[in-house]
Amino acid sequence: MDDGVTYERFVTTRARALLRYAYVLTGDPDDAADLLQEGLIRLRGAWPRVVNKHDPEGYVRTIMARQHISAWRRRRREHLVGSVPERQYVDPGLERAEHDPRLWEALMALPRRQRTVLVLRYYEDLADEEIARVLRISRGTVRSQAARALGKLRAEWGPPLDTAMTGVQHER
Amino acid sequence: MSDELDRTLRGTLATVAGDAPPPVADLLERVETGHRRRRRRRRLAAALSIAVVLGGTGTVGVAARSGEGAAPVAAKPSGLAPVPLSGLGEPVQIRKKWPGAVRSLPARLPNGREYRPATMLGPDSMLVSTWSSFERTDALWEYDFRDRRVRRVADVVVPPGAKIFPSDFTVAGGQVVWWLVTRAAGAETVQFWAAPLAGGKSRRIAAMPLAGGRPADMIVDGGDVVWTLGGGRSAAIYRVPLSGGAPRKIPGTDGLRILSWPWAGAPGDERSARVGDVRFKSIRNLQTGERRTANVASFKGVWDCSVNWCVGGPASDVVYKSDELATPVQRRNGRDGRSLPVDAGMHGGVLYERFVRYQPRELRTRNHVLYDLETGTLLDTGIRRGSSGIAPSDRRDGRNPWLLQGNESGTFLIDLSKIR
Repeated sequence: MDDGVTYERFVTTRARALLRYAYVLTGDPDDAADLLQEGLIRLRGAWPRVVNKHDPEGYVRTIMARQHISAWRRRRREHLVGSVPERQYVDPGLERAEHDPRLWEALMALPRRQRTVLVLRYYEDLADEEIARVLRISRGTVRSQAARALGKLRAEWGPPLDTAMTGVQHER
Repeated sequence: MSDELDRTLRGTLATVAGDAPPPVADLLERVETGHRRRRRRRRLAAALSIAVVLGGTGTVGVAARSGEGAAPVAAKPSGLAPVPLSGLGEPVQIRKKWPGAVRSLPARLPNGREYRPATMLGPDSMLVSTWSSFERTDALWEYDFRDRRVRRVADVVVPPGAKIFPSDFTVAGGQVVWWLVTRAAGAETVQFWAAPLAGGKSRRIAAMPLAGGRPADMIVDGGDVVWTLGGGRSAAIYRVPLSGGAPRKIPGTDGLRILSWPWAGAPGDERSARVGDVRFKSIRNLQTGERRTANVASFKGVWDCSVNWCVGGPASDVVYKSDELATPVQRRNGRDGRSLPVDAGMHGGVLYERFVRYQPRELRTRNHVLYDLETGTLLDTGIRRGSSGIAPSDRRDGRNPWLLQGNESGTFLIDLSKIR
């Protein structure tokens, strides 16, 4: 019956990976910490039901994606007037060919649901059907959200540096 | 193209994920506390509903039905008058009523370079920074955007080992000051630099080891640079003369951060906001010693106070039903409390001690909207909502009337002092 995974052990071994996931969803260390904590509190309440049936990790990741989209969390830090946006940490050593800070900025500017769809597709490697299940939306909506998001990224990110930052106009 | 975007997206997300901070040490403990609190609440709610069934009406029934009606408040807070959307009236068009309050800024400097606003220097000019590569600030300029003139103020020196490049600039007494962080042998150091605004060489004025957090709220007070370092209970306020020297902690500022100089207070736990928390509840004027304490109504959420006003938001230890969310505002002294319609995101705190960004969920507009705490009116900036904009690094300062807002079509400057 009991497969030996205790809640404490799960949290201890998986918290770091889950926080990385929260961080790509939110883009903010504090929001990521809040989101992780919220996910784990819910998991804690559901642990007796969850642990035998499904993988607890999938459960908590689903909770976090849904929670992230729910509207009330969008507050405070995103437009704080008192500070320059969180974009000061630069470690040039990390800039590999396929990593682009400008693309990350463009991602952060996307509406929350579109960004979440892209995170689930490109970070979590989920198929569109799975994304639809996680976010409780139709597969068609997943596709249209992803297409819209990718369209915006393409318009704003186009690799040549100079064209990327200026005169980007697209319909809203 | 599509393949390249896919690949870069994967690479970017994977790389950024690697930048995530480590989980807090007491994570398990926090989760356990949150879990217990929630379980207690569920049991209480179940007990209440039984009482309603058995007892019919009466006080318990009234309490359980408080979510009903226009008031978006869960519990019944005393002193917070519910204001429905209709009570706010039609948003006033700022651009029509106060021409000149909203201006649009050119996307580039006259010399063709992109720029980032740092701080305002006057009604028509600002200090801006340019960069040589991603985030690597290389120079500061005075930009007169009325006459479209630009003047180089100083070159920004980025020393070897820089981990955080300069991006936070403040101006006073003819000097511009900034900080940066370097790392050597695993230890981080914050350096403070300054240059004359009239033009001239930049110089290092001070350095200190950095243990947790980074400088925030930096201002110049007379001949001294003052800033907050650290967060939560380990925060403290430091100062160093502009002429150079060793930074010193201002006595008695342990656990305090600058709210709006010279006011400072305890920000509380900035990571987790629990029901009943009041950020900057008790504040102190570091020049006169005057103290003020917030006397605000209790509600199911967290208060965040400025010098004169407090704004409520959701707590992170509660899962809200949509009709439970409240957006209360109240003066620090306890007067003028009201509960506004649910907000899609009131953020950024109180601006100019009078306005808040406010986006009532049911208000049909695609523009950025402000709420005037003093007059109770909504203000339409005429600026389309889009991706978030750049903002000047003017930190918390209740006297700063400048608000920058960007969207896809450019950057806009709002002069809040023009709104009468």
